[in-house]
Amino acid sequence: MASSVLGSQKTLKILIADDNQSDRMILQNIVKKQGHDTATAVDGVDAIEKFSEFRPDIVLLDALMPRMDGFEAARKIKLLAGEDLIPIIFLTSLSDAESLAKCLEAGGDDFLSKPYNRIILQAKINAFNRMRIMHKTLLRQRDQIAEHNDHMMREQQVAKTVFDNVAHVGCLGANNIKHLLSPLAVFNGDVLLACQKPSGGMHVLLGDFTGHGLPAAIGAMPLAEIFYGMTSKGYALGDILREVNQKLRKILPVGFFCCACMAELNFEQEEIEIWIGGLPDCYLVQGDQLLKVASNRLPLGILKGEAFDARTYRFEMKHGDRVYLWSDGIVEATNAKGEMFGEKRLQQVFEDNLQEPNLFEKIRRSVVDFMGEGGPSDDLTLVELTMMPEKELGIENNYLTNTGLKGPQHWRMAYELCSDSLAVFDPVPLLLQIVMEVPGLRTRNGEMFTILSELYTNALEHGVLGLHSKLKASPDGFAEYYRLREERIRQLDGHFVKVDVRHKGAVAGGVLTIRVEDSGKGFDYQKLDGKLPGPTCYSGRGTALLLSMCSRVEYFGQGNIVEVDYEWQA
Amino acid sequence: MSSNDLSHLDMGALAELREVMEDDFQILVETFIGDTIERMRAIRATLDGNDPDAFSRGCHSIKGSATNLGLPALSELCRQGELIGKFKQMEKAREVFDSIEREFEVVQSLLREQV
Amino acid sequence: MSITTSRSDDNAELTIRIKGRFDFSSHQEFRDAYENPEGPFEQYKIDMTETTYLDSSALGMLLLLRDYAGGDNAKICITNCNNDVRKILTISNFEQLFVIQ
Repeated sequence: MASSVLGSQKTLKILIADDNQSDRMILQNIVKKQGHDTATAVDGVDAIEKFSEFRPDIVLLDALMPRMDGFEAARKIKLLAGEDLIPIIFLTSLSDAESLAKCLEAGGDDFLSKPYNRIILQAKINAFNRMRIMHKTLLRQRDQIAEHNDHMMREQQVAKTVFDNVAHVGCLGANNIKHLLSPLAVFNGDVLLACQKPSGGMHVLLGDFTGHGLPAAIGAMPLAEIFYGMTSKGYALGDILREVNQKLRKILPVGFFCCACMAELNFEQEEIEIWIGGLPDCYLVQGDQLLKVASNRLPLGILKGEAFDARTYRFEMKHGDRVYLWSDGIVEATNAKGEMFGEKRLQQVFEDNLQEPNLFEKIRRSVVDFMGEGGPSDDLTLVELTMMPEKELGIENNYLTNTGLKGPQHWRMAYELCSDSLAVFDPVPLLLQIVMEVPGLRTRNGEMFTILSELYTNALEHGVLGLHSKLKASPDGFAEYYRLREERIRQLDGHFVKVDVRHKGAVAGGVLTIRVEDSGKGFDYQKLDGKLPGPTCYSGRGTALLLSMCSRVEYFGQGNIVEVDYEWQA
Repeated sequence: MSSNDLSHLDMGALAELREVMEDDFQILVETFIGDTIERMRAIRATLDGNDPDAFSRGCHSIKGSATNLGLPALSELCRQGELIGKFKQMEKAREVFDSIEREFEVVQSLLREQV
Repeated sequence: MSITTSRSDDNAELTIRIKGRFDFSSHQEFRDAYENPEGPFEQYKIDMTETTYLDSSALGMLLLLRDYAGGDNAKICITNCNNDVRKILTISNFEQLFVIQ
């Protein structure tokens, strides 16, 4: 009968506590017939002892018992049960509301009144068993979630550490950069990168990946690698953005992308170049003027390579002028009323404090004050870049020398660029990269870049294209120079530039010899009659500049071959 | 409702009880009778009227098991006893107690016949 | 947040209406909407009359739809945006990818 109904059901352990022996017997028989195991107790004290021994799943507890009544026993049992759900069903013929309330207060979950009805009891036991199972499942799932969350947090911390190691090799500590970035243990998707260019100047990139945590951190790695790698090898801003865009498009799933703003600060020319895709408008403070620079490109990682638009804004930026970048955290900072800080308030802070030297702190303060106590100040990314003379940046590029490898000391390479490729490919970053394999030369990458790019530009523009730098002396000539350049660069068949680089290591230093030959007509270097170096002679061939860095500058052939020695000491 | 209107035994309840208890039915009956004799003795000791709560508790206890055993009349008399104790009307206690004792005598023999 | 769809009489266009906040929590619902068993359609219209807010994961979802509807050849038109929504689409320069009316 009943046992067959319950055939598929788990046997429960049920504790019956009643001081009345005949009632106890009846209950015990009903419960046993339903397929459960029982233990009995004759009073409250006994019930607690049996509870600890027997570890029941459900307790049937008489309210009025000698020694310790059911109310107190219920309280103690609930305490012993901890976070396990042990349903307590009060056995009572009490019927006044006050007594029933007392049962509930003590932790009772239900009542069973006399005469005991086995169907009702069965229903109650089944219902509480379901509840007990749900509770157990809930606890298990809660523990699992907590465990998974811990696990995820640990993983994200590792990801962030790895990311910080990759991203923070740059020059974020330079005197012209102030920044506020998420102090969260977990990666929030905002990335700030800064790196000096070998030829002087600095690249800065602020990125905001869609999503948080691992997916964002994963995209940030190649972004940082490409940014630092290409910047320190002398690549231009546009090339870097194109490469990043292509890489992110390749690795990120559709729908994930990186809103970004990249700036190139030219400290010498007091100029800034800005590319902005998907980040909120950034602000440029020029003297007492405020200029908004609106996002005009799609974020990185969306468009295919050929469709990507790397065109930039260019602004004059005098020493002391500042530019401000942020991710949407600042604009969307929310106060207790649910209002966003918004662009209007942000612009007001700027307008009210244009002359304020610590505008950065003013902005931060305004946003934090707006959010009020307990606002989540962890999503605020804000960057200030100031134009200043490069020597005041207060940074050393020691990160460039930080390698465990000794690098090659004695080597030679030859590289020849022909025909059309001369028009579309700039080999200087590539050559620089090879030269930079010599660790001792890494700290000299500025000079190396200048020498290589002077030599190559000379070979291409004066040699192959036969352009005269004299032209550049007047504004009209300047335009003419570029017109001719455009024209001639389409007719490069049979032309070439050959670069031959040799390095000889010495005890603590070495000599780098660079020989560049072009297919142009050359020039009459003999006419100079050994007057090297003259302050004005060879102008346009950059020889004076080369001579200031190289121990030897020598021309050969018809003037279409030049060879320089660069000596260095550790 | 007076106890006279109620039957001594609820045969339906007893049949169910017999089904639940099977071979233990006889033991149950003997246990009930033994327990109740004990409890009656305890109640008798409270008839001096000094401890109405003890009188009430005793009646309450017999009421519970009488309900379970299918003894409507006994159960009702015990309920009256419980209330008398509760409202401290101990002057009525003796009379109810005598009724309970008489009813218990009756059901005792009736129950034994059922075994 | 709730998403409803309807088809034009000639079955060429699927209109997806987004009510309330359009953010990551709408991901599955939005996907279910455009991955309509009757589709793919020639063109899609995203009706934002009742869309109150858009976040970056919603932008991602729009890109997913674009990819599904044929990438560069997709015909997707976003209509009736409120100012806030419009602003977010503008900052991201999504008018380069979608027709925004």
